[in-house]
Amino acid sequence: MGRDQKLSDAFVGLADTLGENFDVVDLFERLAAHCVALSGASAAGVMMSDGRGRLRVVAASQERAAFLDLFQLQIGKGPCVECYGTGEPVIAVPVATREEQWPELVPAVREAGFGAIAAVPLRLHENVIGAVNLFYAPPQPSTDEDVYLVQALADVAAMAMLRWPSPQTRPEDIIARLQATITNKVAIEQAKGALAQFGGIEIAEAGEALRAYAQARRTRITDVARAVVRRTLPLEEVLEYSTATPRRVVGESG
Amino acid sequence: MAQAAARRLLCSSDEVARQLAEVQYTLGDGPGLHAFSIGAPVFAADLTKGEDARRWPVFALRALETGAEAVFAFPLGIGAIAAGTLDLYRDSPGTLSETETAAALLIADAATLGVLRLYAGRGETEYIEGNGDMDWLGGESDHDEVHQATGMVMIQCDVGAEEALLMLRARAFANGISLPALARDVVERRILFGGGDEG
Repeated sequence: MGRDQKLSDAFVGLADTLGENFDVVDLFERLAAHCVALSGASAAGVMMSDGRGRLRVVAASQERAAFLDLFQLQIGKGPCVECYGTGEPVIAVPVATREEQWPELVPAVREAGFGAIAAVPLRLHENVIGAVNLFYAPPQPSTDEDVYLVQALADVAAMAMLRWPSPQTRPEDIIARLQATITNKVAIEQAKGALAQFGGIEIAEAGEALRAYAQARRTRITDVARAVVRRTLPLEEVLEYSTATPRRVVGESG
Repeated sequence: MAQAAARRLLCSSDEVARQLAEVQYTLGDGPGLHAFSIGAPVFAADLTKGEDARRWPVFALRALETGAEAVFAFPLGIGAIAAGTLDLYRDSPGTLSETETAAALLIADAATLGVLRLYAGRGETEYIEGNGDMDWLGGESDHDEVHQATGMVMIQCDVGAEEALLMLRARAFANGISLPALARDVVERRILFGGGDEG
């Protein structure tokens, strides 16, 4: 598939909010995946304001702890916080140049296999609601072009999250949607843990089963996750969609 | 459901809060109930007129009778765990500022833990002795592993998610480590709950 086609598909996919199973967490996971597929970045994550003065990761292109920790290390400082504060992109910065400013983040970024990071604001009109974080593996050079592309993708995703806000969209609608997104993300993580334990599989594999089940049943991932955690949906049903091999036989717990 | 009336913002009597909660239960609808069902905050910043008054017509009338002219409902919960709502009322119309919203969200976080612990099962005993950090407001909820561990412990111990979370917090407190650190141990399968010794 040519790059233009991929680009076009990405925009169309992000903009599609009409499906019954439109899920905001899924939207941002797709955004992260598109950023990696279409830019020079090897990994991406989406951070969002939690309404309490912090940014929180809501989607990431990799599940490994070493990568997710890079978002934790950005509490208070780092490209996402800078970008969120100024509303301007932080164009890919070789981490070596910021060792003093981000003393904990830089070694962890290198350790995780990346040489440069960038951040692009997630925004709705004048409201900055978060940031998209990009990670480049050396010797991949960063390009300014990436920033324009990722910004455009992020803008579409932000609009889709609000289901196409209008001038009448009130600040509280945005706040409500941000809170709901975070709540949904947490529910999905809870469900992944339950499924992983019940099925004797890895957390990431549980996530795939959840996604596959939701897709097959044409429901929102978040709704499936809630039903799993509240035990209104038998976990075996969801695990039927797992392609993973259980690490061990899991019977009754306790 | 938990109710609160914060004097600075709102009506000053719990009687108002109680009446408005009753109205919602009787009607089966209202900002607090809606917030609970959708798991997101619901703001009715002006119950005297406009969109909010139209959305909750009967509730608005009752609210105005008690002197409440704006309502801000925050769900209490963590992911799929739903513990109730925190309904704040004020005696004049107007939106919450960004700072007030942030404060309300933090209060809601604390209230969530409070409400969960009211209904806790076995999870509480380990709080009696321990030197860990009991602070939920410090961003423990930001770590995905905390939530994954909640799901795992739920299954390991055959309990609800609420209890699983409380057990994790109690164990972290008793062991003097942070909840995210304990959660990582659980997720990486170095620690297993459900061995019968959590009691």
